[in-house]
Amino acid sequence: MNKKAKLKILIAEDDVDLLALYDKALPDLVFDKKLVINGDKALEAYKTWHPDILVLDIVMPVMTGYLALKEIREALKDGNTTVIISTSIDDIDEVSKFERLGIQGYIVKPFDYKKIAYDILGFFKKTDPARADMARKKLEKILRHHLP
Amino acid sequence: MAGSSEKIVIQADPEIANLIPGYLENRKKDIARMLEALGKGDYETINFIGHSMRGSGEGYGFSAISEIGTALEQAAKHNSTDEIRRRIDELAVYIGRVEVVYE
Repeated sequence: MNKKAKLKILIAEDDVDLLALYDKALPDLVFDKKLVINGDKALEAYKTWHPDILVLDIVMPVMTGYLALKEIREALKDGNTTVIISTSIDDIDEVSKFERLGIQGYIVKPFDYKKIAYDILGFFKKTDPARADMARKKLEKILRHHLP
Repeated sequence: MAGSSEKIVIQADPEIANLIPGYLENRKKDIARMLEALGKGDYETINFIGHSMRGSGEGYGFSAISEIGTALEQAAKHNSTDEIRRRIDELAVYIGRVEVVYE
């Protein structure tokens, strides 16, 4: 694996406004992004695109985040891909059933778009510390550049 | 107490300035969808829209939209028609009065 390569991140979220916010929050110089609107499309993209990181919303039409994660961890026997779920504050109790299948972390909505890239890299660090640190350095450099 | 025609000024981050008009336009569409759903007694759609608003409002700088979304979600769970109508009106007034400044 080329440690300098951009991190491939697949985001499954049925709210197009949140997808737009993720897109804005994750710089193209650090992340290679694919955005999809349900679990079924996430699974399809996961199989063909092989992301480093998958962000799954819990509540989605067609296929829920839980079913998509179950397919990835159990049927496809992938225990390596970093999976982060996103959930609303009131649904936090749901997280434990995802943890049993294996996730690296969770995002609570509404999220601060200025922090979300750092949060995601923090979760990715559990899987691949070297690439996460490299990406974080790149991110800090970009954000410093944007300061007034 | 502010009058109902007074502007509500929200300071937003210039970095997301290009996303904000679309975000507010989508809330207007939500109002139309919820009114239609309410007419059909489709509380599931209202619950879903409220849930989405709750998850996105504050991220865009509109905490009031997250709060209204939370209230709509709860009202839809209890089939509370009057409360849903009241919250849809509240959202419409808010969207009409909000003025976004970028700094």
